[in-house]
Amino acid sequence: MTTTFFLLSLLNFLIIYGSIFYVMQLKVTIQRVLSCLLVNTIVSLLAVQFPQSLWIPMICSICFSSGIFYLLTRQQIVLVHLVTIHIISILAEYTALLFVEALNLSVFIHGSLIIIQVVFVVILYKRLLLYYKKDIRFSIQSRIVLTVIVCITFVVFYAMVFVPFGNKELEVSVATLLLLFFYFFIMVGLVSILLHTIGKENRAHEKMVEQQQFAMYMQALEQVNRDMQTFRHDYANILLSLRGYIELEDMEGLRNYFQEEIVKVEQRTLFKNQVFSQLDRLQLVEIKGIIATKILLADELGIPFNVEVPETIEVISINKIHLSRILGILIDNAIEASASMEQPCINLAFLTVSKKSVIVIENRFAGDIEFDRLFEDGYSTKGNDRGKGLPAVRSILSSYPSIIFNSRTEDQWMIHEIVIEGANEHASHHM
Amino acid sequence: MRVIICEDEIRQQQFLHKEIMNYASFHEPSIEVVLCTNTPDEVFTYLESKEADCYFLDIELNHPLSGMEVAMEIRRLDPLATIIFITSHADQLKLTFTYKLAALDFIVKETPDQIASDVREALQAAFTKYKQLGEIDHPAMIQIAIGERIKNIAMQDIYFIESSSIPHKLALHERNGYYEFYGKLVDFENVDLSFFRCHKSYLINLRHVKEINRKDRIVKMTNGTECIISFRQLRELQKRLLDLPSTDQEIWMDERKNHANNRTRDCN
Repeated sequence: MTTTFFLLSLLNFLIIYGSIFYVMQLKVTIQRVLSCLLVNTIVSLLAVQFPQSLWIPMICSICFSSGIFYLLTRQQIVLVHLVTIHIISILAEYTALLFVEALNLSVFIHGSLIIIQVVFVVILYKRLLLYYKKDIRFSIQSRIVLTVIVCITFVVFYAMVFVPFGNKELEVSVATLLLLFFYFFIMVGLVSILLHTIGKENRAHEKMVEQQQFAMYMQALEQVNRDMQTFRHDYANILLSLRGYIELEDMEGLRNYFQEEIVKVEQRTLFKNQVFSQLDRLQLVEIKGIIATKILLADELGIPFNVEVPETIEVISINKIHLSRILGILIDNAIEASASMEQPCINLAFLTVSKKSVIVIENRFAGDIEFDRLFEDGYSTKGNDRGKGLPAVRSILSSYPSIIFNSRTEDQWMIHEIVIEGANEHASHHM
Repeated sequence: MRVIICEDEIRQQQFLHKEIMNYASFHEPSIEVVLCTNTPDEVFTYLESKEADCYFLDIELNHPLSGMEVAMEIRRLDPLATIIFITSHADQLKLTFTYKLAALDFIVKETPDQIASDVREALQAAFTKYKQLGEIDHPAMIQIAIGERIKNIAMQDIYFIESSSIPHKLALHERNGYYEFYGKLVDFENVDLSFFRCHKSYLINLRHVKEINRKDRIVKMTNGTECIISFRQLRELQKRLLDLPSTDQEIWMDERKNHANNRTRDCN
């Protein structure tokens, strides 16, 4: 009795935790295995205590395990995985039981049948997850719907499998099992359709953001174009005045006029033009708009804003909505810090260095900053509500395993660096 | 330290030469200008047979190769080269040069006084770097590469290093910054005597411990951040803190003062 109990418990342990470690791609450490083993023992003991109502250990197993794995991974999706794995194991166990009863097979074959089925289905499940990874990861509603569906399915399955257990007629069991399989596959199909729709919706949303950004970029370009036109319009007048000075041979006046009127006024127009020609090489419509708008904003405030894009950039491996949000926050902070300065300066660069995208934004600042407090919610050198962005930037970027985010101060410069792995190296140089 | 100047405008070239020699005679007699030329071709020829340590390079050279390409070629011939760029345009791509070519400094030509002071600062930074290269087992630094740019972080400025929820990604908290990089905490446990692994996810610098809360097993660092102490390490941590030699502390303070004085300004 005890050996069978022990074996069953071990089988249960292997199926549930083996699958979850595999699906979540967790590293197996002794500590983790031991804590899982502890939960498993409690569940098994409960199962022995209440052999008539197996739902108690089942529910406990799901609750405890999801608690543990949530602590380990900090992902709510773990609940969905656990319930799905339980469903799969119920199905597998039930099918195996039927075969064993119908054909009078040994317990050993029973066990291996269960394991084979579980391994097979779990691998399929993992494939499906990988396929819809992006839609699940970026959409909260898809996670909620998934959780609800999976939980309902679990309750239905449980009710069908365990409640009429007293009825041992084989035909009824076969019918129930067929029904369950039917239901299971319909559910898989429905979930796929749902995820597909959500994915489509997400893409449509991204497209919309892209279009908005494009419109912003166009507006900014038109603004620059208008500036150039006024410049050209003034051109004739400027030449006339120059001619006046030259005819009078007033060198001092000419020098003053040139310095004050031409260099200072038109430098800004030309500078803006140069900045926009750099931006041209950034072939990511989704973020062009936000940068263009911020350049114009900085220009209105009289803050020099340099943009460097030495090579054509077509891909940056990060969700574009995230990227534009991050850039928005960082540039806003830089502009805010520059607003009250005597010699402000903001530099922004998009570079490709050895297959990595490097985004650098730096600005001059005055005074002291308590560096570690910058990332606290609500801290800002200006007090009040400002400076809220940096924690958000860090929390967005920390969800990407292949992104590095450094921030530091160096001789009155505030520097942020974002290194993103996986960029396309372009051979063409435009220096 | 051997310096090469490559600048096509003769007056600027002489000015640079004079400034560097001035600095050398007053501060570091070991600095010498080994080549002063107006074309990068001569630099390449020189590098075929000899070596140099520091390059002052004009970006707008009258030459088929752009300043960027010249610098790339020098980097290829001499990977450890310290390159300082000189430009007459403030809108040149400063960040591109710093991050793609690991340029040490970027001098914008405005007024002679400003150029002179920038050249002095750049030379000082270059010389500090040159000295560090000489001492192979230079202790108190952790190097982090961002693009081609190498950032040196002094050990005594580090508060703590923590592991993140993403495998192999570490976060380093320092006096002036926050850095992320890939690695394992174990590899840093023995780089400095004052580092102590007080928890699976935390490697703290004992010199920056402000106070220990024994009840909640939390150690508060001098910058106000709190790190967790694991149950087993609490006693050990107290022991290590007591063992920290006090004379060492003073030395460390001096070092820090020196460090503040010599701080390289390789960013600007």
